[in-house]
Amino acid sequence: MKKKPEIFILKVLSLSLFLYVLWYWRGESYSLSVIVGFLKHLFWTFGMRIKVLWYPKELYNNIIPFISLMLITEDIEIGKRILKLVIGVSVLVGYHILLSVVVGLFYNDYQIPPSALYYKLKVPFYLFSQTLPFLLWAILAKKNLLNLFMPKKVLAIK
Amino acid sequence: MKPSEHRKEKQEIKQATRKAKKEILRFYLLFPVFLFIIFFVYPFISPYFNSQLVTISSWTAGLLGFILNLFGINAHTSGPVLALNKLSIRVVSDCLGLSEILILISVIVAFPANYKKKLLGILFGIPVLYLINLLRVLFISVLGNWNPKTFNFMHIYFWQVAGILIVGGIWFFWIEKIVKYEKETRDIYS
Repeated sequence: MKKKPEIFILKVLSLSLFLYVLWYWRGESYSLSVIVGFLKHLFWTFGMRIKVLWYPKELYNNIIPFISLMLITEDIEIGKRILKLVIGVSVLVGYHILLSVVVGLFYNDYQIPPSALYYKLKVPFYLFSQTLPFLLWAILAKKNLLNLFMPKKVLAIK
Repeated sequence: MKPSEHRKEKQEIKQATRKAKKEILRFYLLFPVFLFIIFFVYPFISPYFNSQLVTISSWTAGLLGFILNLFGINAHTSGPVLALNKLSIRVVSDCLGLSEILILISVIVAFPANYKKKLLGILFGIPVLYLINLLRVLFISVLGNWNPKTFNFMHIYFWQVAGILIVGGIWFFWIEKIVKYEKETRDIYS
């Protein structure tokens, strides 16, 4: 990270705010219809009869911070940036689907949501979902983070 | 610069890069492990601290009510509940910034630095995060009182990102101002 971190954070926040408005307006309903459609198809393919499809939709919006972070990060070639965006978004969508399958199955088999255990497990999953886009960004933008791990003396020579 | 000095500098950069690459890999491994441990332990131990959390929530609600009244906004509190004209909110443990504090602890503990600096980062980060959360609850309460729809948007969507980015900001600050200083002195005197 060459520029001051606070400027980077402000830029990411501003872009996220804009993207969240779009997400709130249209994106969420579209992504929900795609994921729910896929899940129904998946359950039907495996011969599972799901009475009520319950999914943790509040965990799906973590795509926004990942996109903002990848777009604002400097010194990434356009081709690499697109590739990293595709990889990250695919991992996040895969995580959403996996989480939804687990929650859907638990809900149907054990009626888990009303239980105390569900609420206990919901907290770590919620926190993990919040952190996952940042973790993905830290891995995919490794070169940009490397300077944080270098001593100031060496950075000055560089 | 003499060629020998230039060669020495180049070698120093190479060594530092190699060391940084090792440290970043260690960080990638440790951070998710600490996150997972803290996240899974937290919900199971938090009921034992329930009364303390309710007390802190009630203090926070009282403080928020006091600040709002100070700015001429009519607010009443009853325990952890803060009531404005059009909006009533219950201050819960999440409003205290607990999840952000847990993430900050994980990210600081996973970073290569000595225990003193880590402790300093945690002790500095917790009150800062609490204060920022206080400002956040203040801001979204006023916003929600004005327009309840914006309350949901800011609370459920936007703040989730803002909270973690602020954690990132505190982490960057800690690395630049505390850890890097430590690295400098360690390199000079070792």
